[in-house]
Amino acid sequence: MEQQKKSRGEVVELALSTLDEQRRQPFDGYALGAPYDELFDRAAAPRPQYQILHERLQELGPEELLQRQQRADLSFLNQGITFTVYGQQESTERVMPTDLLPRILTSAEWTKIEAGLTQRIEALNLFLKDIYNEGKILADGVIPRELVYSAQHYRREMRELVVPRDVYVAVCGSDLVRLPDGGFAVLEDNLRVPSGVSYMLANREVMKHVFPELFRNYQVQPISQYCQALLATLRLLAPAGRSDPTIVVLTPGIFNSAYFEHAFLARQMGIQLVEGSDLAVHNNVVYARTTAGLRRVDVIYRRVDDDFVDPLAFRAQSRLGVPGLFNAYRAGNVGLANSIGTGVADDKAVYAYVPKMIKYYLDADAILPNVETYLLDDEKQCQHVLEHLEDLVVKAVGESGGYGMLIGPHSTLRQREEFRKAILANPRNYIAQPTLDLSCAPCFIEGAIEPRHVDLRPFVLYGGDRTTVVPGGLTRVALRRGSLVVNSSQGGGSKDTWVLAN
Amino acid sequence: MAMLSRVADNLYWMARYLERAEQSARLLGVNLNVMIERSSAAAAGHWQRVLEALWLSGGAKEEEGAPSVLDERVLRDLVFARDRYTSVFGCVAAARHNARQVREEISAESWECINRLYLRMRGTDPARAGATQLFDFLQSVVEALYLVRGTMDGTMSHGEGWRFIRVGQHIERAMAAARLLDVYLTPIEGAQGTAETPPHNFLDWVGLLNSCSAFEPYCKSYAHGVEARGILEFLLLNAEFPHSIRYCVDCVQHDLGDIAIAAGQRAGRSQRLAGKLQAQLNFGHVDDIMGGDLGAYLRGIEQQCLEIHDAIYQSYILYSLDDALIA
Repeated sequence: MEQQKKSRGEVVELALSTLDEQRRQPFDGYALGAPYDELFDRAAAPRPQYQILHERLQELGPEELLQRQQRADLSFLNQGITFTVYGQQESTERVMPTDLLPRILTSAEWTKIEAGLTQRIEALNLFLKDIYNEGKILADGVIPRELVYSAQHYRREMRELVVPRDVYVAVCGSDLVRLPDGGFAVLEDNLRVPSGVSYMLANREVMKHVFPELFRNYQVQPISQYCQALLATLRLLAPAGRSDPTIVVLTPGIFNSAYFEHAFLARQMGIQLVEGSDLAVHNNVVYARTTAGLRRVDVIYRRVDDDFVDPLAFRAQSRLGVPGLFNAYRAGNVGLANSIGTGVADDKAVYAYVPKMIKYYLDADAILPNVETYLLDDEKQCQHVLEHLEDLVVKAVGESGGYGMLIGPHSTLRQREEFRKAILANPRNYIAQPTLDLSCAPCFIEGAIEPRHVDLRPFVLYGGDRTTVVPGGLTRVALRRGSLVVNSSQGGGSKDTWVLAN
Repeated sequence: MAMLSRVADNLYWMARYLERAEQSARLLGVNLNVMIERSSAAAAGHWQRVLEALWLSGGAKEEEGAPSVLDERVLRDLVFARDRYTSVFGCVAAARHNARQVREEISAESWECINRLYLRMRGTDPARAGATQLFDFLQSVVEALYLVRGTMDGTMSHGEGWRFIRVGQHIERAMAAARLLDVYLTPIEGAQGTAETPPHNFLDWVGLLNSCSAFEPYCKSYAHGVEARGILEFLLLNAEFPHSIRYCVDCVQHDLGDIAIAAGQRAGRSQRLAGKLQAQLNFGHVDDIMGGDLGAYLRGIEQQCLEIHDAIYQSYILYSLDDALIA
């Protein structure tokens, strides 16, 4: 490590001393030293898949790159590709910060990711079916019963409900991180209403516009088929006998942070985007209020959380949902993606057991490992965590989006004390993980290329007998130097992700 | 599936706000130009009329200290104010808000046109817009709105949604024209021959025509000159000019017919009301209208437009679920 820094430093020094007048090179300030750098290998040479990009960036120079960044930003702004930040009074509509440089994965890396995710979604669906029916995995003692029943997103109402094709989770977005050895691990699964896929698709469109020449030199696998694959998956969930099902996307409305995505997906699939007030249930059949009167709805891709989906079944004061929707689902008159109560399987404590689920249901070892996780209702593990709070990451089990998290090395004493109290009050509500040294990818930041921490969220579609993982995903970037938080709600950005064909 | 009622509602109001923005921008631009050539006393009366045409006179007088003179601050407010729906920017923002909720219905190109206009207006610093820049700016806003409409016409399917947009646009335009004619023509009609109200001069009539983009088309039709009767006939009863009230009502009637077919014959009342107004305009004569109470006639048209609006909402958008389940 010491050596590579030096060799790189020497090169830079040489360049500066002999060529004073020459313009700055984009990689001049690039700090090596990340446990895994996506672009440079340990000898500070570009990895083979990055060679063309590396050369091209040096040809273009910082000014040209800046212009292209501006072109990309303008394109996002004009298209209104924005998300909403909660808790700010003014200008809550923001453009998702997008980095100019693609993250490149080889076909071999992708093959493994795809196989791992396919295996995982199958096991998770089997798990959900099991715990909401016979509960064999609980009876066999593989997963503690109380862990499942005490999960915040466990829904008793789902017991023995027949789910179309046994598809509980049709749409999933799992967060992967690259470990220092170069392999990928699953950090968390998002099995409720995962978002981000529209940014993946929009990033690609903008990149094609901004870097057409790079696409000619690389063979990038396409991802634009995602929306058609999603539509095909949703169609599978239609009630029996509905040969030409009406499918809709249910959004909480224009003020939701992911509204752009809901509208985008509806448009790309050519189906209606509805709000709760557009739907009504009569005799356990769901109807949409149209200019031609009421029309039956067969499948709902709902982007509204469990709690808000039906005020009669769940949170009574919700105005985002449809009264009677859950009974219509129970009666088998409408398909839902995802089903209700799937969040129990992405509970951060249940997460720790996913490799065991894979073994139990599929009799196989997990292709993608988990990140080491401490369960705090275990006294020994809890003790260890409380003694090492400043080194660990603590997460509330039912939260997502980077909320409810303590990052030990970046925390203050007071924050640690608050978490210590909260953990002792309710240990089941927290897990801890080692602070991960996420891999770094080159990002174009204020006129120079610098490494930033990244993760990867691929999008998985599951239809019972087939699983689709479009080759790519959303690479999320922690744009602040040194930051490990990639969530868009916490100042993160994203970049296009290229999976090469062979 | 047929169109969602909420979507029809958004499209309709998007179109109304776009049209309102265009009307206001054009009216302000035209009058800014007219007033350059006028004495300050005449300008004050003129200005009052502009405010009335924008539905701004009554309440505004007490609350805002009577903006009865041409004051650049007031003018800038009419263009840029962010906190009300009456400014040009307010209308564009409201149109965008509606458009944003139906992005899957309007084409991506249409959305980008509206969004670009909105972002440009939001990014303009009103303090730096003097009278000259304001005139150019208003003209560019009108042009941008033409672009929005052209883009929608050229990139959207001309189905039910597009029809709702057209209905909203033409109802708004018919009401704006009736209002404008009322403001310009009723005073002379009421106070004809009295000394207090000086008869309108040439500049006023040109201003009225230009506010409807009608000056050149009018001159082609009426070679004998610019005068009240001709203008009323042209802007009220002409069958071919797109800003005449009759033309707008013809469009509303026609598009409501297509909507009724698309939605399966639930129209009834809205179509009947539009047909009634259409017949009144198609068979009306300008001398009869001028011979009667012109102000009441024009306000009657506004009223009928509101009734058509209500009927559309009852048929397609706000119908009760119980009625719909029986049908």
